[in-house]
Amino acid sequence: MPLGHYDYRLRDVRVDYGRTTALALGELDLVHGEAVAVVGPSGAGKTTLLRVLGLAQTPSTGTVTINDRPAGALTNPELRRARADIGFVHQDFRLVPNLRVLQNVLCGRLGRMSLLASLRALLAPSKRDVGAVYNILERVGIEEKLYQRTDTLSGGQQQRAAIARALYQQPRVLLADEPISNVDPARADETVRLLVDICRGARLTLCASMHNIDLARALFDRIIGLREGRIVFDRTADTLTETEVAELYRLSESADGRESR
Amino acid sequence: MKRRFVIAAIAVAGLVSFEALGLRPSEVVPTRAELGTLSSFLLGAFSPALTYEAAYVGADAPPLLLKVADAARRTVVFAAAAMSLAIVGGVVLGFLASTAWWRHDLRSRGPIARIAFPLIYVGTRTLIALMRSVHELLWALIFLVAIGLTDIGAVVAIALPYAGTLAKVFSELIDEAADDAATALGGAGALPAQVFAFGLVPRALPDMGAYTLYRFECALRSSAVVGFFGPETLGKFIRLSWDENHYAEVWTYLYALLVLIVIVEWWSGALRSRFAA
Amino acid sequence: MRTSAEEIAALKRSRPRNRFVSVSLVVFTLLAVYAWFGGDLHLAEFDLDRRLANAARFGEAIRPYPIQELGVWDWATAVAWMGDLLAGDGWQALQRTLAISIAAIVLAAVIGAIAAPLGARNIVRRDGLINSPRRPSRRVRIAETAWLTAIRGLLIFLRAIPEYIWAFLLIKIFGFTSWPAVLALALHNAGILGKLGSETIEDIEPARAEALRALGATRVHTLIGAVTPEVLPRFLLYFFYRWETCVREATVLGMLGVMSLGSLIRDARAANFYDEMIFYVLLGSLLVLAGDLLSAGVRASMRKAA
Repeated sequence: MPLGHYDYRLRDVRVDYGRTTALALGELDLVHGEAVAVVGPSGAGKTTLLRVLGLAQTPSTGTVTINDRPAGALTNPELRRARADIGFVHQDFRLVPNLRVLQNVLCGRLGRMSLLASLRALLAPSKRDVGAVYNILERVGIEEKLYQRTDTLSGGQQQRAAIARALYQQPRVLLADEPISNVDPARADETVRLLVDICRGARLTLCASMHNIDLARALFDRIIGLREGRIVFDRTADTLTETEVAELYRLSESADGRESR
Repeated sequence: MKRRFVIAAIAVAGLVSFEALGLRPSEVVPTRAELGTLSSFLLGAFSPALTYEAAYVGADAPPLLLKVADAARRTVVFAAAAMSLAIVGGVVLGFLASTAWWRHDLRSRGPIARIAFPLIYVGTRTLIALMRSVHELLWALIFLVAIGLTDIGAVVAIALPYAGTLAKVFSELIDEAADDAATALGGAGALPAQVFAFGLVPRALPDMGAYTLYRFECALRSSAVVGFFGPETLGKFIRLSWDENHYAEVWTYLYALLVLIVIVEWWSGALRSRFAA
Repeated sequence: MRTSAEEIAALKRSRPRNRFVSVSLVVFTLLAVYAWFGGDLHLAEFDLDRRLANAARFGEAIRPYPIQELGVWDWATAVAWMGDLLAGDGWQALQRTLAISIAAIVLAAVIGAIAAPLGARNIVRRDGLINSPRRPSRRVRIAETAWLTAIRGLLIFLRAIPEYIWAFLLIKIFGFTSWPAVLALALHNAGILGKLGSETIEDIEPARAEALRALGATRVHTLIGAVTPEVLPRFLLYFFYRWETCVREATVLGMLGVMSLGSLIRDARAANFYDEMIFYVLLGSLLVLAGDLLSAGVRASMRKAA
């Protein structure tokens, strides 16, 4: 598998949890370098889709192919390398609260290090590593928190620390699950713009889920709308219509007229 | 099980046990002779010996207080040596006995791992249970009759059950620690050992540290008691003085042990408040 | 404008540091090094070869006596031998050891439950659970502090002295019955349960108790009505944890007393019957493991019912 280049092909992917279907896609292709926004109401399956792309969730049926190689056929070392190439920013951050921000970010590169190297790198980080972490923190705007305990940061700051960890990973694909859910609206624009710029500059594939359609339309090439696990639309930003957006978020009415979402 | 039922069961079990042992409350009331011993002993609490009670001690015998301090020092040495072994053993066995670093994506590993990991888990838990089930004094007794006790034997005798207990508690703390960070690291390609070291252990570390300190305090006690079997810790001298009815000296040694315990208690209290901060 | 390197260095200098923790770690490491290399442990005199030879001889000696005579391992003979030991004294000793552990922990719980509120700041202090507009006099406060210190001191003393030493001391006073073992375990664990109980009482949510006090209930009423229900679950958990330890200790303390696993071990050793000695040790282990399982089961079901 050629390193560094990730073209996704999802065919008939379904993810079922018991009797609930979280995701039921038909065909979905992602070309390397795209900036894709995934929008939809809560519970639409955005997180599940991102997890499937991040190789953290095996679909119940269907195939996920990366560069013409089925993900299920990856050997363990290949799987490890693929995971290291895919950065994931979780909605609940998933940082270690009593470690310093520096250490949490350094953890991003564990996927590429041997056990011994990682022990050395995290317990006695080199000046160069610390400098690299500092630069990334600078880009997300929390460089002064370098040595602070992560649980002393606010929610928005922790989210940016999680983004920093994913970026430090030097991934080829960046998946972000609601990266601005904890960021105040004034900052949201800045944060998403940052993600898009970094990914464009480094030629990474970016796939981010969010509720803010306007931001998605403004900054992303392609917008996918999910509703109840299905793709409702898959458009470029300028061909997306208002009707489609309204349709995505409309309150659905059940047979006896009760509203439900 | 309702709490009230449990309490009732405990009360019944207690009464049955007292009956089964044939213990009568009247036996606790001391006889005249026993009362004499008891009161002489209790009086010693207020005037612990500062010099030897025996009429004659060897010409080169050190002053009593120095001897007590030395015994206390050796008690600490034995406890520290035993704990250093126990911590190493506890960490290694705790890692093997925890499931947190392999239970999540077992399906994605090869068939060998799928059989090996649970086997290692069960095997380690059994080993730990065996180590823990034999009291350190019984281990000491076994070493005593098997190879002659020696100081090292005493240290290992204490270290064995302590390592088992530490391993059990460590593995439980790690398995119950929040694993959100661990799944994130694993999803980014970290090896199980890395997930363990950087995603799970830091979360459980404060509690692990607190428990280790508590165990050190227990180790001091065990180290003192093992002196009854030969090594020159506080227990040995308590027994010697007691056998000669030098009650005031016994109190001196008891107070020395009390001082050691109080120091460690204070230290662990101070550390615990720093850990939380 | 500082360069990043300078900025990093400045951040590093001003980073929050836990001095006490780092110093403690250093002290403990030094202590461990001193322990091993300070000469107290007489490592040089160990003589590995002789010890290994001893161990080998011991391995031979712990095989059941009939097996030693036979020369070859035979399960039927071994099991029959074990059955004889159990039927003889083993089973009774097992039961008595268990009884010692239960009697001791129950007694400890009673004493501890009485001592716990006596050592809890929010019970002893007149204004512990209510916001009284009138502060108690200085004399009262001093008396309260003296009382708390005395109780806590007593509890510390009870638990600082190891159970074995307690039992050893009590034998001379109470003679060769099962009382020394039971009392020793009970006193030591009363110290522990008392302290843990005090801490639990001090940790409770004051709302319920405060409400009762505000309505005019006496401290005793508050204790029974509001504090006990809140403290009971945790106290029960501590009870079972300590019982597990009591089972372990009961075997060992038996060595100082009559008719229990410990006394059988002691007697077997005195007679150089190492096979029997090991058998009784293993029997003790089984008792400990069974006790641990039972305790874990009860604790789990209590948690579920909660």
